[in-house]
Amino acid sequence: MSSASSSAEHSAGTNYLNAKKGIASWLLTVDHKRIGIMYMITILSFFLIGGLFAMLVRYELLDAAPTLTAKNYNKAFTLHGAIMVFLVLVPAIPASIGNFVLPLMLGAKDVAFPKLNLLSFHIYILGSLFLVYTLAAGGVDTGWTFYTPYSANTDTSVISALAGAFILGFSSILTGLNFIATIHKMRAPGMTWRKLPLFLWAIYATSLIQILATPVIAVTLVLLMVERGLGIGIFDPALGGDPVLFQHFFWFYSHPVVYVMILPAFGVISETITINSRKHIFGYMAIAASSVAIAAVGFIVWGHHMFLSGQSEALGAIFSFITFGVAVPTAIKVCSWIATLYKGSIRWNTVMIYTIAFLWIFSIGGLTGLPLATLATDVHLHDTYFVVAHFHYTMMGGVLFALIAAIHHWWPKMTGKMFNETAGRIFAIFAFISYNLTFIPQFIAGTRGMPRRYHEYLPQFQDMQFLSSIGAFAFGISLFCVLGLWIHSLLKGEKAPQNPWGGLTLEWATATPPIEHNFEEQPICTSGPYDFPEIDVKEPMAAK
Amino acid sequence: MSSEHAHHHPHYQAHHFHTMEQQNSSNKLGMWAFLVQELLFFSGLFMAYIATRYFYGETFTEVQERNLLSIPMGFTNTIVLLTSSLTMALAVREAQLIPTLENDESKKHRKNMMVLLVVTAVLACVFLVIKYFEYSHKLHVGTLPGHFYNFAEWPVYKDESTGRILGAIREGGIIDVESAPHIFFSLYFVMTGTHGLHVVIGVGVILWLALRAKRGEFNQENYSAVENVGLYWHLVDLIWIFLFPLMYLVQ
Amino acid sequence: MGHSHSEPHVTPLSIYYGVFGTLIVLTFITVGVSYLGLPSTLSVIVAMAVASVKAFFVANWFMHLNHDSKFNVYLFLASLWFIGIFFIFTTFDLASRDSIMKHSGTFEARKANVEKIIAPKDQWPVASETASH
Repeated sequence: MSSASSSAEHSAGTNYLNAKKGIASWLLTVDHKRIGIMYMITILSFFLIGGLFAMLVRYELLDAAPTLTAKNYNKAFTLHGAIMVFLVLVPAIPASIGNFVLPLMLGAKDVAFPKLNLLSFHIYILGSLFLVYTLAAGGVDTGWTFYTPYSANTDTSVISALAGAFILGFSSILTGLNFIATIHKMRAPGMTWRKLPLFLWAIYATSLIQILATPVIAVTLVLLMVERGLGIGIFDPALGGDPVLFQHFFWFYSHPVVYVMILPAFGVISETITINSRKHIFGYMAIAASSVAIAAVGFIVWGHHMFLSGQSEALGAIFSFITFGVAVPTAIKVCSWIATLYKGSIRWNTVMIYTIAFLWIFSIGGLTGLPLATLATDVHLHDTYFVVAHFHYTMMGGVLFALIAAIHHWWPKMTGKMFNETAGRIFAIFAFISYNLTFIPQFIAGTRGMPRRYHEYLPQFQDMQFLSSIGAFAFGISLFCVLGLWIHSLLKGEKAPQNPWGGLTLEWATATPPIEHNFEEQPICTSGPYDFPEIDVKEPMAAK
Repeated sequence: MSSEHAHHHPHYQAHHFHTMEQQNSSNKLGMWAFLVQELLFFSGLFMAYIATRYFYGETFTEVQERNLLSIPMGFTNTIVLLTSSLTMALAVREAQLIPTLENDESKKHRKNMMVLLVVTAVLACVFLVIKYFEYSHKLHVGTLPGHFYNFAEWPVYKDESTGRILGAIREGGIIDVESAPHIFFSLYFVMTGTHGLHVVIGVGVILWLALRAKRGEFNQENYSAVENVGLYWHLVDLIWIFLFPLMYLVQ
Repeated sequence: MGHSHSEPHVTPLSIYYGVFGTLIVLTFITVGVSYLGLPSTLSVIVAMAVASVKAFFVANWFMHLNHDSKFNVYLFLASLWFIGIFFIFTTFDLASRDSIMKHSGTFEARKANVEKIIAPKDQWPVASETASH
C-alpha cells in the first residue's frame, strides 16, 4: 500500500521520543507509541524475572536428587508459570508491538480510546504489584493453574496472586476492546478489510478472544478468592463443591488465552516472511480467515486439558475430536507461509532467521499437540514432560521467537537506529540451537514417563534433564546477548533510513521514528500490503 | 487529502477522530465490547448456579418451601429496576432532542434529561435499600454464605477437626449430603452482591452524567456518554431479569 | 465526512411505554407461573423463556439494537453463543460423568461417609417459624 505523502524531513529531528520530556510525560502519555514502549520494557523485565525462576527450576533438575524442598520447588515453578503466562505471554505482542504498530499500520493518529489505553497500562502495573507482593509474601505453590482443592486450602499467599491475575485480566480486556474499535472505525480511506495487513487481522482475532474469554477467568479467580475467604463451597469438595467444575471454569479461558498469545505471533510472521521474501503472501484470505477461525474454534476445545481430571469420558471424546479441528487453520497458515517462501527473493537477515526458526519451532509444537489431543495417548502423556515441552514449543518458542523477530523488525521504526546484523544473526542461531537443546530432551523424558512438577526424579531421567538444563542456561545467555545487541544499538547504532526493509504497509510510509501524531497528512491506502514485487520501493536497506 | 481543520471540529471532538460520527460510533462499539465482557463475567456466576442446582436441586426447592427469600421484595425490586430502565431510556431520548445550538429548547431537553437521570439514580437507590433489608434479615437469621452459615432451623454439619461440611442436619441428627443450604446462600450473596456492586457503580456514573448535564454538556451530536451509560444500565437490568426468577421463583 | 450528519433516530415515546408495559406484564406472568407448581425442570425452562423475551425487548428497543450498526448486534449475539457453549459443554459433563465408566458416584461415597455419624443434639434443627407449607 502506498502513502499519499511520505513525511520528508520533519522539523529537525522532532519525533515521538523527544517531543515531550520528563518522566511524567511518559507515565501520563496518551501516545500509543510511548505506551507500547513502556509495555515492552516492563514485559521484558518480567520476562527476566520469570526466567530467573526458570533457571531455578532447571538448576534443581540438573540432577535427580532434590536441592530445594518440595514446597519451595512448587513455588518456583508456580511463580515461573504465573509470571510468564499473565505478565509476559498474554500482553507480549499485542500490548507492546500491537500498541506501537496498530495505528501506524492503519494510517490513524492513535487508537480509538487513547486514555483508556493509558489506563490499561496502569492497570497492568497495578496487577503486577500484586504479583510482586505475592513474591515478597513468600510466593504461592499451587501451580499457575490454581487447581482446587489445594489452592483453596494451602497456606501460601494465594489470594494476592489471584487478585493480581484478576487485575491483569482487565488490562487485557481493555486493550482488546480498544483494538477492536480502532480496527473497525479508524482505517485509512481505501483500506478495506481485504487490504488490512495480516498482522492486524491477527490482532483483531486476538482482541475478540480477549473480550470474550478473559472475563471468565476473572469471575473464576473471584470465586476462588471467595472460596478461600468464605468457604462458599462451589469448588472445594470438602465443603460440597466440585473441583472439576473449577477446571472447566479455568480452562474455558486458559485454552483461548493460548491463542491470544500465538495469534499475534502468527501476524508478525505474516509480515516478516513477506517482506523478507520480497513476495506477495500466499493465501491472504485463507490466513485472515484462519485467524478468526482459530479464535472461534479455540473456545470449544478446553476439555483437552482435563482428560484425566474426572471429567466425563463422553465429553472427553468430544473435546478430543474438536481439538483435531483446531489444528487445521493453523496448518493452513504454516503451509501458506512456506508457499510464500517458494520462488521468493529471500533476504537472510536477523529477522528472517527468527522467522524461519519460528516455523520450525511452532511446527514441532503443533505436531506434538496431536498425541496430546488424542485421548488414548494423552492418558500416558498427561502431566509428563512431553506436555511441558509441547507448550514451551508453542507458547514460549512460538511467541518469544516471534516477539524477538518483531522487535528486530520494527526496531528501526521505534528507535530510529539500526542494530548490528552480523551479531544479530549469530545470536539468533545461538538462541535457536540452545532453545532446541533445552526442550527436545524434555519430549524424550516425557515419553519415557518423567512427570512434571516433580523436584526429584528417578535416575533414568537424569541424562535428558541434564541436557535440558544445560540448554536452558545457554538459552538464557543467548537472550542476554540479544539484550546486549539492543543496548548497543541504542547507544551506538547507526541512524535508520525511513524504510530499511522496503515494506509496503503504512507504518513505513511515515518518518522513522514517527512524529507524535504519526502522519503529517492522512495517508490513503491505494494498494494491498504485500504487493511485492510489483511495487518498486525506493531505498531498500543496503544488503549486508 | 485536505487538511482537517476545514471541517467542523467542535471542542468535544477528540483530535484523533475525523468526525463526530466516527467518534460516536467508536464509543458505542467500545461500550458494546465492554458489555460483552460483562455478560461473560456474569455467565460464570450463572454457570456456578447451574452446577449447584444440578447437584443440590432439592436444596433450592426447600429454600422456596421455607420462604427464606422474600418474593414480594424480589418482585418489587424487579419492577423498580424495569422502571429505572424506562427512565434511563427516556433520558437518552431527551439527550437526542437537544439541538446543538443553545436556545430554550436545548435548555428544556437538557433539564428533562437531568431530571430523568436523577430519577433513575433514585430508583436504583430504592433497589439498594430493599436489598439492604433483605441482607440484614439474612444476617439476623443466619442464612449466610459458606462458613458463616448458621441458620438454626436448617443447620449444616461441620466436622471441626477437618473443617469439612458434610451436609444438612435433619431430625434425629441424620446428615443429608444432598442438602447444602450454605452453598445456596453462597450463590445468593455472590450473585446478588456482584449485581448490587454494579448497581452502586451505576448510581455513581449516572449522577456524574447529571452533573455534566448541569454544566451544559451534551447535545444531539454529543450524547454518546449518556447513551453508553444507558447501555450499561440496561445490562444491569438484564442481569436482574434472569437473576430474579432463578433465585426467588424456584418451583 | 463533514458536520451535517443526520440527526439521531429518536424512538417515539409510545414505543418506550409499550415496551415498558410489556416488561411489567411479563414480570407478572413470571411470578404467576411460579405458583402453578410445575415440575422443576419445566419451571426453569418457562422462567428462562419469559426472561429471554424480556431480554429481547430490552436489547432491541431500550438498547436501540434495532437501529444500530449490525456489528454491535453480532458482538452481543457472539457473547450469547459462547456463553451457551460454556453452559452446554459443562452441564453435559455434570450429567454424563457416570455414563461410560461407572465410578462410585460422588453422592454414594458421601452418603457412605456419613452413615455412621449422628450430629450432637445441640446442632439439630429447631422448629421452623418461617416455612409456608
